[in-house]
Amino acid sequence: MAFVTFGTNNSSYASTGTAEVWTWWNSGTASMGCGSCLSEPCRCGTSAGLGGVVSGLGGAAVWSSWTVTTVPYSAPAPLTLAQQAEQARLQQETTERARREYEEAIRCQEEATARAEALLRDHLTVEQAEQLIRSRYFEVLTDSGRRYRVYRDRVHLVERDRATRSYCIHPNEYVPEADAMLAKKLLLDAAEPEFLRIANETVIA
Amino acid sequence: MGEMRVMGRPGDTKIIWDPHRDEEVREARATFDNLRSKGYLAFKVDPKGDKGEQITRFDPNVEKLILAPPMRGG
Repeated sequence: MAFVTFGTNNSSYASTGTAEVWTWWNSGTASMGCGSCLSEPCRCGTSAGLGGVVSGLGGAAVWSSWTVTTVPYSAPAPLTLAQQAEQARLQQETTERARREYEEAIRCQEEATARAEALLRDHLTVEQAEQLIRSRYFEVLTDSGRRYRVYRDRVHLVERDRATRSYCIHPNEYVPEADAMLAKKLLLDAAEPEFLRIANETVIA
Repeated sequence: MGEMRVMGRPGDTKIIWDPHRDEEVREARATFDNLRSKGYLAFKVDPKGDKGEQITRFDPNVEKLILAPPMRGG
């Protein structure tokens, strides 16, 4: 493998013209042999013999060799009617399978949502359940005397009927929204300091 | 009968045990300990919506437990 190292070969470079430099460069490149394993002769088998053929030749010979060894594109043979029918059938099967999987995923998600809504309702007081239906949130009064509003996506601290702080907290892995609301309620009820430690707090101006 | 509801992607999974049957208690305890080791939060709850209590050790005599995945700030 030949390199044109201007820094260490200044005397040689100075004595030749630009055309000669490029000839030299191309000759050097040509003698590299294989473009994959960079060894001459090729050791990986991808271009066996190429290095030998082009070694010592100019750039034109390299590109000629490259073109010759490239397999020309040929259009695939047209499908028979039977093959076309088989292809259409396979396509139809794939589409049908994807549709069934999608419907199954939707059904599972709806079941999960319904189950989570039921679990949440079972663990809210009557007032909280009514509040959730009416206002899309329910309030939790903690042992510290603070009042929090639990929304689907956030929790607000309410002071004098006004939200003063917003808390962003959610389960580490996906659970239905109602389950996430219940988890926040349980944490607020049982361990408010831990809730405040984990949640990201934003002051509402 | 004791009941443990474990929150997850497909909604909650219900695990029940009879506190008088050792094998059922053992299995429920193993599930509880496994989830706790993954950071799950365990709450002893009251079905009427009253305040729950966070627990760290499995008690076979508890009527109802809810286990929620670990929480993080958003």
